Amino acid sequence: MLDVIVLSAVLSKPPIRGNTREETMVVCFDSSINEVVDKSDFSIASIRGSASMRNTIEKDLFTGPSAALYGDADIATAFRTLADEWSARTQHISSNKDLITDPNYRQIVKLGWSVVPLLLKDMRDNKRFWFPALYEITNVRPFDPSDAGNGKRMLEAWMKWGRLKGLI
Amino acid sequence: VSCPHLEIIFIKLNAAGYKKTSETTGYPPAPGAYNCIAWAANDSRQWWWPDSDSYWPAWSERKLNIGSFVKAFHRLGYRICGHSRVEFAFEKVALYTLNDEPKHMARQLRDGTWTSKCGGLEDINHFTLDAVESYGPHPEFAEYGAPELYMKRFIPVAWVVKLVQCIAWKIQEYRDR
Repeated sequence: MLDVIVLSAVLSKPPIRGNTREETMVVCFDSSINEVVDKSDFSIASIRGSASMRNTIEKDLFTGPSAALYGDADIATAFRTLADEWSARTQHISSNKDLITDPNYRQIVKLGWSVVPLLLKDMRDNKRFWFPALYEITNVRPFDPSDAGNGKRMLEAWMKWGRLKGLI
Repeated sequence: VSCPHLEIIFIKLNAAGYKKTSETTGYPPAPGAYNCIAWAANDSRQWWWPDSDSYWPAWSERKLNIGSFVKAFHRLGYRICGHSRVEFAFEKVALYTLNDEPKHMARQLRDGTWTSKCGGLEDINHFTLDAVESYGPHPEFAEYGAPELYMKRFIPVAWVVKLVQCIAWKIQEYRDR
């Protein structure tokens, strides 16, 4: 039953045309919504599409809180709590891999597109390390590869992208 | 000056002895954020890590393995050596690994002590190499692993490399304006 509720909440959003990973997922997903919800016996196996797509959906839906479980205000609160905890306990880490595999970081990524404006604003205001999270969610890197490591240029590129997308 | 927050996550630190040598710098994109790898390479301007969101020398692959780190430091004049003892006219770095995965680097000072940048926190001068040895579990304790590999470079070579680095940074600074 829970999976049907979660799935319904995700699919209640209007489909968005786009070419990034999550947007594509929603568009593909939408084609099978009526059938799934009408039957009321949803299972991951009933999703049309490739096995990898099903795996991604399954992973995103059932292994942690997704944006579907939060309202906008809740997302902001959840994000702030997770981000502050993450900052506090990873400050000594130099390994980017360790930074982004911290459970709180994973939870933030699982919040999906809804958290992107918050990530951008937090990166602008608090200068926290959200580059990998933004890439994981959006599947884009708006800066030139030669600017990798140049925090100023990377930040500028992400802010420009955020403004163009109307996210900040 | 002591750092109680570091003594909690590095259980050997207090016993080994250390001194704080800088303030915290935070993470990218905070201006001036750098990490232990950058600090070992005498770079306090960038965050070094072999992934697509950080600086990594063009001559080394962006892969998280010991080979990439060795290659990155090879072009800076470092060669693998067998021990961490002080050698006349050489400076050394140590690579810490956990389960064969690079986690941290420290640089030897002339007096034989070591300097480390602890992520986005402070630089410290630790008196022994094992002062920051740590095996987790995260987040209660750090997971730097243990010193696994040592590299050294001839000090005159270091002067030349530092001069070249300095010129490269000036050019980058000029371009960033």
